[in-house]
Amino acid sequence: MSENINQTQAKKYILVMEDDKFYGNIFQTKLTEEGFDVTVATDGEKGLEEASKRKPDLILLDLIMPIKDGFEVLKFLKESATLKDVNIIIISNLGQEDDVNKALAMGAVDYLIKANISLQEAVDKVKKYFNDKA
Amino acid sequence: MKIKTKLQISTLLTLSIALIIGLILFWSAVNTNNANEEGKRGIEIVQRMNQLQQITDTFLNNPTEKSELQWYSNFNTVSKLLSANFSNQKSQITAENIRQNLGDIQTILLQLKSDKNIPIESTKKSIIDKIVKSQDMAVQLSYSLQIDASDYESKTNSLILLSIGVIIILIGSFSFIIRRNLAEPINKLYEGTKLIGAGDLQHKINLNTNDEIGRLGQSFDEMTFKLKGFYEDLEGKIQERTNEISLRMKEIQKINIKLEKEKSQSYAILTSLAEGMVVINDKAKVVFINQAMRDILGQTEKQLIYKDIFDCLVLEQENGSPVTKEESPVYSALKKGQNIIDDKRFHLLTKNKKKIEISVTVSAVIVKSKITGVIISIRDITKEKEIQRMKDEFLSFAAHQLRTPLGSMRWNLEIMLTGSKEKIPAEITEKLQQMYESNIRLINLINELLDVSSIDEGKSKDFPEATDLLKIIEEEIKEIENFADMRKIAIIVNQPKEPIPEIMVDPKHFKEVISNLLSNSVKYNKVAGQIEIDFIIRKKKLLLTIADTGIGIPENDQKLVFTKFFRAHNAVLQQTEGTGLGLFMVKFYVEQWGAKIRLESKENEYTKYFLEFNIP
Repeated sequence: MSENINQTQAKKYILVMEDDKFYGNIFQTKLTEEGFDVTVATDGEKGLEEASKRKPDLILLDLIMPIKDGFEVLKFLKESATLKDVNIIIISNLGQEDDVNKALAMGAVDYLIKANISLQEAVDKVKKYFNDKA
Repeated sequence: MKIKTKLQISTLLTLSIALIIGLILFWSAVNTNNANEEGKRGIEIVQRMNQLQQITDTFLNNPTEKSELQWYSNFNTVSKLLSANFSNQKSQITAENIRQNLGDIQTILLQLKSDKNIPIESTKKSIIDKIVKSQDMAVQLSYSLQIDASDYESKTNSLILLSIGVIIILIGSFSFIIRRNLAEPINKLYEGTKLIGAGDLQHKINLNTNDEIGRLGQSFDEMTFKLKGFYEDLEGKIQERTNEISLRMKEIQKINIKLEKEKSQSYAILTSLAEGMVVINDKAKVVFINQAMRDILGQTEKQLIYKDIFDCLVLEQENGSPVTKEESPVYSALKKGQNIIDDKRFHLLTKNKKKIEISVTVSAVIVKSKITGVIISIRDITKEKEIQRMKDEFLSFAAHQLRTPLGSMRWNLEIMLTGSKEKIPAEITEKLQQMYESNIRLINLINELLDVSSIDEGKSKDFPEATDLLKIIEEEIKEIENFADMRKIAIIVNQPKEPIPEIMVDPKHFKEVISNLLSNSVKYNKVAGQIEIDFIIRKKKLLLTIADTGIGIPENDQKLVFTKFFRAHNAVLQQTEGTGLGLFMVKFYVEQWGAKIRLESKENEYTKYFLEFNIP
């Protein structure tokens, strides 16, 4: 499947903003395996730096992060002239309805609670997102 | 006998007696008059007889024509007087005798005139004798007539006296009858009525006569008796009513005392209450305001009392826009009688522009179905909200902190289990699988605890929308397929002939409901058991049933399975893990949509859930 993507088009660039090393590593490994170009930033500020360096096709955004948390990043991205059209999927272990609704209201396209889904489901969501778009 | 008859008879009797007396008196008067007449005639006869004797003497001594004429004239007069009728037989005879004598004298005188031979002297003597004799007889006649007359007179006098006596007796008896029959009873009646009128209802007139007055008296007695009864009855009733009233009065007094006590108590409570309390009248004017409320508003009682509540209590929406009078809960209570409890939607704006988060409770005071005022209670919930926020943040953070390692464990285990089977020995794979399952259970436990806590906090927000239930059910079946396969459980969905209408539910919550019910049906099923899902459409209802062939729920436990943290005894034996929260949440969500859930079960045979939804 990964070869398929490689053949048909340029690799999609996914920016993952995730402070937890384990998750960061898993996303890096699994999504690269699936044929995506993946960068992992360990805090919000670094993430925004990466985003401004190269505009991602999709941002996977954790909410609880040091320095700049996910909501701040989301707000910044949605207010940025160049990055406001980048789609953002929240990947968080915050699961209160208030948080979910807040993030969606701020412009996130999806909200995944990491612990509640399997890795495969998470990857499928990402892939499905690109497939739907295509 | 009627009084009228009595009077008529008495009158008639009196009249007849008077008539008889009158007739007798009349007859007696006529007789007396006759007797008097006769008496006078007797005297005249005596006088004429004396004249006749003188004339006879004159004629005998000197027989002239003149004297002869005189004699005859006198003789005729006396004869006439004597020939008239006398009432007394004796007098009649005497008068007859006198006339006889005088006739004899006339005959002798005639003989003397024609026959000169008759001895004059002896004849003269015989005439004189006869005259004298006649004279005597006349005197005798006159005398007896006088006596008769005086007799009649005295008789008449006696009769008159008698009549007077009779009349007096008649009048006496008449007045006696009247008195006896009229005056006395009337007087008795009068006295009686006076007594009764004065209130002596014991008095009885007791007229036993059989006439109108008697009957009147009896009627009167009867009336008095009835009046007495009525009076006694009335008195009884009045007494009864008076007792009742006095009892009621006592009760009212008691209530008054109680009310007074309660009033002062209430006043004390209201005044000293930590919550702000305002009472307004039906014109929205402040009539009572306690210290706490004055403190919240930062104003004195003088500044607030009798002011319009909408000027005193300025509210703001959470987003900062002002609350209009009509939007205010106070208005709803005052105009519609709505009671609103613990309304936390508003902020209070104080005079010095301070914003306070408040909880408002309003209750309309309704007296005889009229709103007479509103009691407004206001609580400063700034601290409360702060604590709530901290609690929420803590819960959310705790969940996050727990989920983060569990989630990464989950994914790592997943990679180990799926990615590199060749490298790991089978016995370790088995252990990893067990770890994976425990990890999932831990995550589910955290999620359930969070859900229940948000339900308890009233924070679980349900957003119903028209939802395709079958689609979600199919998704959830897919989710659980692996688990079901492991236990060799077949899941059958019987689709109805007609399309299933969309139902108003919150899809996220419906997913949880189905997930919970299905996982129960798999977990507590027999190995190689079955789950059957059916849809029945009836009128405006959709009935969804999920039936398993599992261990069932003991009858005693069936009522309790929808309560928090409850687990059926046989479930605990089979599956030690489990929170007992699943069905509690299921019921909560289902009822949020106005739907119903119930179950049927038989231990060791089956459990069947019935969910009944309203078709919109």
